[in-house]
This record gives sequence, structure tokens and C-alpha cells, in this order.
Amino acid sequence: MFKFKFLLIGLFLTPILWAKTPVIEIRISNHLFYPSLIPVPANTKVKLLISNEDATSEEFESYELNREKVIMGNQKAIIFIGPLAAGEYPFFGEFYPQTAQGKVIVK
Amino acid sequence: MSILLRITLATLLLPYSMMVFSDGNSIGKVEHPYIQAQEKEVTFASFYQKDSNPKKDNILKHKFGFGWALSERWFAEINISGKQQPDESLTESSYEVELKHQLTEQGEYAVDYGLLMGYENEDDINIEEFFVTLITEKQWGKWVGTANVTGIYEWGENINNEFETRLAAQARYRYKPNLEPAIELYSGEFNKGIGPVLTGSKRIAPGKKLFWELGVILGIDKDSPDQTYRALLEYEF
Repeated sequence: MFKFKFLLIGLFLTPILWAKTPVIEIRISNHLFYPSLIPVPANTKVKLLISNEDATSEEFESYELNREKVIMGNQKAIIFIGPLAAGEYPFFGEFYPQTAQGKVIVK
Repeated sequence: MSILLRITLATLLLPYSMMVFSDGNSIGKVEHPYIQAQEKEVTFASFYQKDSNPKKDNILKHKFGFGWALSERWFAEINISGKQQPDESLTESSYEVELKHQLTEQGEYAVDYGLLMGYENEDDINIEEFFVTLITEKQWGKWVGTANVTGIYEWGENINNEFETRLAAQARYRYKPNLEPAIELYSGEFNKGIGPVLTGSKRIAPGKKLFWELGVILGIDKDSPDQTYRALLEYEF
């Protein structure tokens, strides 16, 4: 069991990789995402810089992307996604799901 | 303090904490390293222990907790537990305060990191402990692996003051939001077990979610309880 503990820790403390990550800017305004369709290259990690221009908080949520992040009113937040396989990954705003919807399109 | 320095310090401290054994009950919830700003949660968890040894058989433990995000990176939680043994009524057995810190942004590095610190007072057996847990999580496609490595300093009237370690790990398959099967592994000196767990979540209104876990952990040595059934219901709002 002791050896297993060390193996598990080793797996999780793998070296951290540094790389220049492309940035994509997204705005939230009137409970809508701009742009709502976000093209992303396949197998590439990207950084989403989301500016919430509304006074109220919004939560970027996507089960497909495995991401959930609250962006407070008039604040910015960073979400890293990928590397992803080609396909469409829907996301929505948890607090205003009827209007705040979008898709990450990976090609 | 930079993220790299914090991770390096936590990593350097781990080998020391791993040199000593643990004697506590390690079965609980596997913690994830993420925090949602403005989130609050109410948690109720139950544990039911079965064993061939009558002294360790038919023990029921309940845990009630309330947590709230202090910021985008800090989360506080208070828990109170009660224990019920055969032919006894449910009595308060311990209370706990916890502080969780999200060290890295999800997906920013190869592994996501968090830190959990806390104080627990098991007033029914006069034991107090301070603990620090390094939380790590990594995603491989639809699989997510999480490990909680805990270093504990324990003191009290009826025990020798000592350092302990505990490990809790989970491999979870992201099948769909309301059903994610997992395997969990726990290790403490008197409690080593592995077993299947089902987890899931259900959105009940904008910004409100129910999260649940149900599983059984099977003891893998003679000191461990034969089975520990565990159930958890969490309301996030």
C-alpha cells in the first residue's frame, strides 16, 4: 500500500509544462455571449478571457468541456480549455441559461 | 507567494508526512481542488460500518456541513458529526472547520492543485487534530483522477501525540451529469479500503444544484471494517 501511495503521488506530481497559450476574448452582455460560436484549433490548449459586462454574475458552464466558472458582474475571468478533439462543445450561462448559450467549435 | 513556489513547498513537505503511518478513519468525501465564487453549499453525509468484529459492527455516523466561498480561490466549511452505536442513541461526536484554497486554474497545468487545511475536535474521544491536504486532479478524456494526500498532527488526553498520513483517491468516469461511476481508495492505518461509488448532479434551478454520492468501501485488510456504506447529498446554491 505504501508503494502504491508513492506511485499515485508521482502520477499527480508530474512536471508542469510551460507553453504559450492562444487567448480568445469573449464578452457577456445582456446575458448573451459574444461571440457565441468560438472556433478553436484541434489538439491545442486555449485560454478564454471572459469579460462580464453585465452588473450581475454569470457562470460559464459546460459538461462537455468539464468547466464551471463564476464570472462576477463587471469582472473578468480566465478559463483554460483543451487540448480538444474535433467536434462541438456547447456551453451556457448557469444563471441565465435561456439566453446565454454558445458553442466551442474545434476543427 | 507564486503558484510554483506554493506547489514546490507542498511537494517538499509530502515525503516527510508519508514517512509516518495513519491511524484514523480515512473514509469520507474525496475533495476536488475547485472553488466557485459566491457559492454556498449544505451537505449531509452518512456512513454505515459493518464488520465481523461486534465492536466495529453496525456503527452509523452522520455528518452535516455548511460551506461558503470567501472569494474565487478560498472556501470555508464547518461540519458537525454524530455517531450512533448499537443500543445507543445518536450523539454529537466531533466538529470540524476547514479552509480550502484553489492553487491553480482548472486546465492551466498538467495537473490541477488545491490545498485543504482544517481543525477537527473529536470531543467524544478527546482527540484533536490539525490537518493539511494536498488535492490533485487530472483529466484523461472522460476519466478524471483525484488524489487527496493528508498530513495530520493529532493530540489528546488518551493518545500519544503523533503525525499521521491519510490517502483518499478517486477515478471517475464522466458518463453523464447525473451519473458518474467511480472507484475510490482510502488508506489510514486501521482503515484501508477500495470500492465502487456512484456520483451525479442535477440542476434544479438557475444557480442551484443537487450533488449526490452513493458507494460501498470494502476493507482490504483485517484491521479495516468489512464494509463501509456511504451516502452524501449536497445542495449548492
